[in-house]
Amino acid sequence: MSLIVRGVGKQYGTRRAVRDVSFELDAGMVGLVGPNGAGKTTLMRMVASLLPVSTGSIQWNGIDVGRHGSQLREVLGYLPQDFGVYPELSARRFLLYMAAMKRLPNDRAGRRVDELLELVNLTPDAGRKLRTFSGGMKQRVGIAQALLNDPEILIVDEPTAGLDPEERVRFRTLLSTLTDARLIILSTHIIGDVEAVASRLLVMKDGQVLADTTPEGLVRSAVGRVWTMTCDPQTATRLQAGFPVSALVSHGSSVTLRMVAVERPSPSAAAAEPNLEDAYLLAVQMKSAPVHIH
Amino acid sequence: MKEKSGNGFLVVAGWELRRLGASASNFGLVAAVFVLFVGLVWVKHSWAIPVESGSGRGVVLNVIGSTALGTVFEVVALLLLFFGMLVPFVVADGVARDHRQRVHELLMAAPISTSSYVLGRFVASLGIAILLSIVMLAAIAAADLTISLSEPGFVALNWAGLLLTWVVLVLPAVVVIGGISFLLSTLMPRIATPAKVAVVLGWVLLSVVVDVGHGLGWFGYWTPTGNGVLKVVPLDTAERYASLLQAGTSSASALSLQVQQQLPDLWPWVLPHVGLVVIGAACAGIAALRFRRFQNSLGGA
Repeated sequence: MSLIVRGVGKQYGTRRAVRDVSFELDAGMVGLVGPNGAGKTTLMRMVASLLPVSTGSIQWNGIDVGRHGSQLREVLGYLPQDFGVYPELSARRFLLYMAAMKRLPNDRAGRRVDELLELVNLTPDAGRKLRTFSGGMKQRVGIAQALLNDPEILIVDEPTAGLDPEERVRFRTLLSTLTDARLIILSTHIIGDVEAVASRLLVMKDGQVLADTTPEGLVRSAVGRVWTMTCDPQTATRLQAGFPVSALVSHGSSVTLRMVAVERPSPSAAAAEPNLEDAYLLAVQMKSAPVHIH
Repeated sequence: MKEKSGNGFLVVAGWELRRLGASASNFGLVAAVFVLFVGLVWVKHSWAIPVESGSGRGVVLNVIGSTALGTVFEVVALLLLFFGMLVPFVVADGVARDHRQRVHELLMAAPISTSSYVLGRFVASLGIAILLSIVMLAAIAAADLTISLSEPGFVALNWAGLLLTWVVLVLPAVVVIGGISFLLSTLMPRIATPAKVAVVLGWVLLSVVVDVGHGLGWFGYWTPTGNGVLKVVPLDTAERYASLLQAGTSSASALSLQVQQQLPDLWPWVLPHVGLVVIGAACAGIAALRFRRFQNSLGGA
C-alpha cells in the first residue's frame, strides 16, 4: 500500500493553493496539520480524486489517481470538512443509501451498517431522522459512512471541528482503532487531535509542506526554542507582538508567557521542555525553510 | 476489487426514489397537486356556459372545456400550462440538490460512476414528475366525478380520450421540460433556481404568448404546449357536434356523449412528440456527459 505525491500543485486563477508538494505514505496514521488556509483541504481533495491537480501527480499503489480515480474510490473512505446529510432520512437509512452508492451488496450493506452504528455508538439513535441529530452525532454518521466499504485509504478532513471535548476524545480513540492495514490521513488545524494518534506529521502552510516528520521529531526540532517567563502585562504585550505565544496565564498584576523563539527572547526567560503544540507553532510561525526531519 | 451490487444506474434511481419517499413534504406536494387540479377543473367548469344554454358551433366551443367531453382539451388549454410550470421544480434539482445540501462531496467520493449518478437521478426525478402527472389525471377524474354527481346532465368522462391526451401530449411535455431544466441545473448548480425560473418563463411564453397562428405549421405540431391541438381538434369536435345537432338528434348531453365516443385524432402529433421525448432524454444524456464530479474552484464542494 503506497500513496506517492510528486510535485503536486493546485492553482485557482492566480492563487496557488498548493505548491510543489511531495511525499510518500504507507499504512498508518498521518496527521496533516496547518493553519486555516494552508491548503490542506485542497490537497486532501486532490488525493481523494475529487479535484484535478494543476501540476505533478498522485499515485495510489502505482495507479494514477488523476486518470483512474474510480479505482481509488473503490477503496477510499472520505469524510470532508464540510458535509451535509439528507435530513429526511434516519441514520440507518442514510448509511444504507451511502452503502448503495459505494456499491455494497444489500445483504452485506445491512450488516456493515449495523456494525458501524455500533462502532460510532449510534445504535440507539439509528432510527431517528438526521434532522434531529446534533453536530457531533452527524459527524459520527460521517465517519461511519466513510468506513462503509472498509477502506484501504481513509481521509478525514477537520473531523473534530464543532465537536465538544468528550466527542473529540471519543473520535480520536475511534480513529486510533482503525489504523490496522490502512492509510489514514487526518487533516486538522488542532494539533491535539493528532498528538496521541499520528505516527507521522506533515505540517503545511501557504500551500507548502513545511515539515515532514514524526510527532517526536517535530518536538525535538523545538528543543531549546521554547521559553517561559513571568512579567508585567506591558512586557507581555510587547513579547506577544514579537514572538509566537503558545500559552498565556494572567495572575492579576503579572503574566506568565510560554513562547517559541530561536533565541532567548528576554534575559529573564527560562528554557522550557517543548510539547507538540510549541513545536507546531515554531514550524508554522517561524518563517524558516522547509524542514524534513525523521 | 470490491464486490458490487446491481446496475449502478438503477441503484441510484431506486435509492433516490426511496429517499424522496421518506420526505413528508413530497406527500404534501402530491396532495397539493391533486387539490390544485381538482380546483382548476371546477373553476373552469363554473365559468363555462352550460351545454343546454344554446346551440351552434360557437356555443360548443365555449362549453367544450366545461364538460367531460372537453376535458381532453382542457388538459391542453389550461392544466398542462400549470403542470408545465411545476415540472422544473420537481425534475431540475435531481443533482443540484446535493450541492445545496452539501452531500455532493460524499457521493462523489463513492465509486458510483458519473453517468449512473446523473442518469439515475434524472430518472428518479422524472419518475416523480410523471407520478404527479398521473395525480393530475386522477384529479381530473375526481373533479369530473364530483361535477357529474352534482349535475345529473353532465356527460361522464371519456377515459380513453383523456389517457390518449396524457400519453401523446402531457408525457412528452413533462420529459422535454424536465430534461431541459435538469440539464441547466445539473451543469450550473449555482444558478439552479434562476435556471428553473427561466424554463418556467419560457414555458409560459410558449403557452400563453406565442400563438401558433391560424393554420398549423411545423411549430403547431412540435410545440410541447399542445397549442397546435387546440387549433384543430376542438374545431373537428365542434363540427361533429353541429352536424349531429342539425340532424335533430336528442338533447345536448346526448350529443356530447355521442361526439366524445370518437377519440380525438392526435396522430399528427405523435411523431413530433416522440421527438420531444428524444430531446428530453438527450438533455439528460448531455448532462451525464458534461457533468463534472468536482467544482474546480476554491470552496467548491
